[in-house]
Amino acid sequence: MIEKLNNLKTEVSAGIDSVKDLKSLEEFRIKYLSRNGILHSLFEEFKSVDKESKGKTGKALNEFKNFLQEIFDKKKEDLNSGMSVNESKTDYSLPGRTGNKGTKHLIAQAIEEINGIFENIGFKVYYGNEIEDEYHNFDALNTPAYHPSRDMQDTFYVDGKGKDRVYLLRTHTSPGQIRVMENTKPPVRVIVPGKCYRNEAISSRSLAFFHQIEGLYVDKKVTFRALKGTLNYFAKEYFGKSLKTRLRPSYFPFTEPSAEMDVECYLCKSKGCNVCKYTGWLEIAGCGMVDPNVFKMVGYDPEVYSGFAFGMGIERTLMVKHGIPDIRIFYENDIRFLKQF
Amino acid sequence: MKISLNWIKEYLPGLDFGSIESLTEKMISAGLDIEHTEIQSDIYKNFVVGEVLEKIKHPKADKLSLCKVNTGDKILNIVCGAPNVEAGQKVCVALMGAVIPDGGFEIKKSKIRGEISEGMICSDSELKLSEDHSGIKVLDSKALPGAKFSDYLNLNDIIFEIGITPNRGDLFSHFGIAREIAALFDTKIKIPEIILKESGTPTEELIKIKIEDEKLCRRFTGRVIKNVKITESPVWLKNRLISMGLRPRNSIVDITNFVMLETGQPLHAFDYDKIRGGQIIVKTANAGDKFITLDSKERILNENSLMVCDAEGYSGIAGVMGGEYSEITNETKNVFLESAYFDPVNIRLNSKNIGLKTDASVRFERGVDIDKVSYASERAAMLIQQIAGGDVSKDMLDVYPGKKDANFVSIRADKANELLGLNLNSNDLINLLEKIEIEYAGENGNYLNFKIPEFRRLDLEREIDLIEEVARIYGYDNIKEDPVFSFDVSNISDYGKSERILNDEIANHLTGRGFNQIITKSLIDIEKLRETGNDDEVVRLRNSVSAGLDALRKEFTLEIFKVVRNNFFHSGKDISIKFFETGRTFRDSGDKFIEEEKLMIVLAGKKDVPVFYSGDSGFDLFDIKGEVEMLLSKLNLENYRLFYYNDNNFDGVRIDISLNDILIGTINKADSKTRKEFEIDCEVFYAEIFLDKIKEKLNLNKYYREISRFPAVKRDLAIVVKDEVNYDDLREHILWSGGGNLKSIELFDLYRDEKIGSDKKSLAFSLEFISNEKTLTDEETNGLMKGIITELETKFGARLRE
Repeated sequence: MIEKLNNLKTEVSAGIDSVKDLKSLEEFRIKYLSRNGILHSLFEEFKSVDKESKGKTGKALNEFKNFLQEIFDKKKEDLNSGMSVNESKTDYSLPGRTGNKGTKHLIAQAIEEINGIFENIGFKVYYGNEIEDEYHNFDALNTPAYHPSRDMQDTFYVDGKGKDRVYLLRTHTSPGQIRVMENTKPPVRVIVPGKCYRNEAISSRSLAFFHQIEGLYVDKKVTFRALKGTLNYFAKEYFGKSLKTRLRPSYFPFTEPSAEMDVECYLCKSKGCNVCKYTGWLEIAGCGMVDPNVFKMVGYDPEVYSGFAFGMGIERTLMVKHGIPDIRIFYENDIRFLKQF
Repeated sequence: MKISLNWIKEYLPGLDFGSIESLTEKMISAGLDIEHTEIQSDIYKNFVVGEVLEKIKHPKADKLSLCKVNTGDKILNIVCGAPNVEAGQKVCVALMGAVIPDGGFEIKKSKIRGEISEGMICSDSELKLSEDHSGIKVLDSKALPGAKFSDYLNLNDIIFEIGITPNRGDLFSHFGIAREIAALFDTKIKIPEIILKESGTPTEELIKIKIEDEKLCRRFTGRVIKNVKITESPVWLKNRLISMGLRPRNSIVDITNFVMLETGQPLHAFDYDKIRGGQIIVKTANAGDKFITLDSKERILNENSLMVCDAEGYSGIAGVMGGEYSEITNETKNVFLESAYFDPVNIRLNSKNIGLKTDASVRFERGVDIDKVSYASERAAMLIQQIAGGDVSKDMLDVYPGKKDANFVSIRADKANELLGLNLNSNDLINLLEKIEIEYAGENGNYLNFKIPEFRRLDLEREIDLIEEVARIYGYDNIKEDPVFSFDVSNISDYGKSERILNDEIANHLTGRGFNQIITKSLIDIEKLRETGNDDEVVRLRNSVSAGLDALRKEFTLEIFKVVRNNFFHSGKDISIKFFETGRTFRDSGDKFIEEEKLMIVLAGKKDVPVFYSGDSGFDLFDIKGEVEMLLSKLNLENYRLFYYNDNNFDGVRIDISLNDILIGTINKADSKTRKEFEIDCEVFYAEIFLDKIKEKLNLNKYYREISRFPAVKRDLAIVVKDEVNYDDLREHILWSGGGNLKSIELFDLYRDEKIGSDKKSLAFSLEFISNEKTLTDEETNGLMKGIITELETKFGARLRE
């Protein structure tokens, strides 16, 4: 019987190769594995094997049974992994099973990246309120009433019935600086990302609100040189190491000296193009040393402490960086836009 | 403002500015924000003067002529369609490569009806010089063939558009910019000398000036010029104004504008004969009075409106705009010239209140140079005399009640060095500041005193203001940067760390689940809320300039539904929408404003992006519920409870999520009314999570829970219960009766069938038992199962399914 089993094993090994579909596999099963199949008859036969060789033959029979089952299971699996019962070969060029591609909003990505760049050098994130009072948005930032620079920012005033102060929608994230300094002693290293509002007519450049990110660093002996170093570090991390930067004098009521930071246009490498309006430079951030009047407002002694602050508009930077022509695209939330980034 | 380089050159004679590129760079690094540079000759690049040598008719076209045109170095064949072209004319030729200003097309060599044309003879309108397109522009017969057309027009200027920051009112003039450029080249500007021939009558006999409010008007000068001849201005003056974007009017008005652009001092010229009573009174208006300005518009005055009046009434709004009645006309014989100093804050307020911003008001509100008030008046008188003739009255009348002493500010070298990271000594500071006319006035201990020029009085008041000037003139580029060092963060507060972590966890989890983050408008249309009667506690805006943006959102739904609708509209109904947004919502609680940080999750449309193997099913409530459950589990929040609402008037669904009796969010199916309102055809499911509420409960420090080394025993449990028994209750009782070894319950089947009874349902659970101590035996597991079955039988009348 053992010899018979060996012969059958050879026969099966050869026979399984000709099984190309589930139908012939079923024929294979009926021939060998079914109630009327060869395996069943072998076990019937085994009953009459003499006692001495029963152990040896039984072992061989069991091995054959396992062999048969394995070869059948494997074939079945092979055939089933094809796409349809009648297909003998899988088309591996069929598309893979994908789901919806999840994406963070481009603005959120930028804020996360910038947060990370500054967290790496010891800054912490602070989130201020979007409804601010006039004091924190303007007065405490050295911008008293009738100051001409209040004209630079068209302000949404909030109907503040029953409140003891004049409330508005923050025009910049800078009131976050004041909130932080009012509540903590130096040293201060903080970045404030968030939504800001300007009461402007809606156009491709302006949508009445936008995102800004603000930074503040106050300690003893903080210099203009540290401001330059920090912003250059940021520009290199965010825009790329090979790009040049420059600071040019500017004006903000809450910093002095004040500057605008430009980065070389990364599209044309400062040769001049549409995006940089043929100047070769892109304006990325306003910055400067914190004005002593601001320190006085929060009870810091400007003779002891100094510091710098900077702020940048997220949408404007992203529009340039990714060639987005219209600010409204960010807020239309068209799925075809969202999935691009 | 616009600045002409040729004009600047008049105050810096003989100075070599170098190339335009290097000059521009220097100006920018000094803080002059050059927004745009217009090189005038570039407009007519490749346009030259040509002489038509010969004109013959085009053989194939009646209206065209073939011209031979001498363009200096070449004779070109040009086909011309103008009726007025003639041999012998001097014309403007656009050479090949030229771009026609009107239309922007480029001239190329071409064949017109079979004849070669190597250029184009231009008309006025093609050159954008006037509207005239009746024929070609015929030039002066003395024009030289081959000369650049821009030279023929004298267009050799460079016009800078410079952004002026609010602190630098002194830069609103060519004097001001010239002074800044002079500092860059270590020189000083030369201002034009006044040469004036005064005639007999003293001014004070011709007019009386009285200032009633000396705070609002610190200086007022007047002068009368009699017997002027009002004409067009000479070409040089007109060109100056045109290059600044102003339209020339008549010589008197043009001169006042010119002097304003030159000195920064706004002037106003009155028709002297329209000043009633020979008297000027400067005083504030009565609120509500009306006045017609010289643009023929009626203005409503307020109690802050400072007015220039005559004996009978208002004559002009001080510092903003003159009146129609007393304006200069072609019939004007005698001129009264005003040059004054008005209070910046008052002008700003008044211009805003009246709603009128002018070149004059912009300058007054940033502060003009009070010392130069008289110079500007004399400069204008001198130009009027030169251009319009007339007798200038003797001795300008100068009422100057607000004269102030010179202002001195001191600076310490060590303070400047400490802040800038420089190492400057006293001499360095003196040298730097004197370049911009800030004069050293001696020292006092380690304080160096400086006299502030009048034109910078408002801007330079404190030590820090001088430190900024030191840095600016030293050059920001010349200050080295410190490398960024790793800060000591031990004393730094964490501020919004938990918010940042929470937001990141959520965004990372949901984007991994295939959601797209959106950011919608937080400004909304209050009318939309009013329609639904949902405008209580809404935060309103008082002064929005945009219709439909007049309140802050109370909830996300309004904008998000719009976004969902728009996406279906643009991308079809087969898309799968999985959106989330985190952001603020706003409420006015009466005594304060409340900002709440919320998360919104939305599902709508198809479950899958349609592909060959996917089904065609849409989302259902268990999709949104599952997303919320997974998210809360991800955030380590497990012990929440859900409360289900049934309301017959509402065909949506709302489930409240509560954690320790605090509402932390809701799970919803939008009702059909809302969907109809937003024109959305399919179901919309959304969940809101109140992040401020869970932030307090959040504990992302997870602790290890022991993983059993013994095998799990799985048992299925199929029961039949009455329809009204809900899953949550069954689950709770199975868990409770199954004991500590029951580690998981999965519902794997739910069905209703006639056979089991119409008011019944069958549920099948897969239960998993694991002990941490040993392998559970069959008997032990059977015992636990029995306990569960007994509990379900007694509690819910459940029976086992066969």
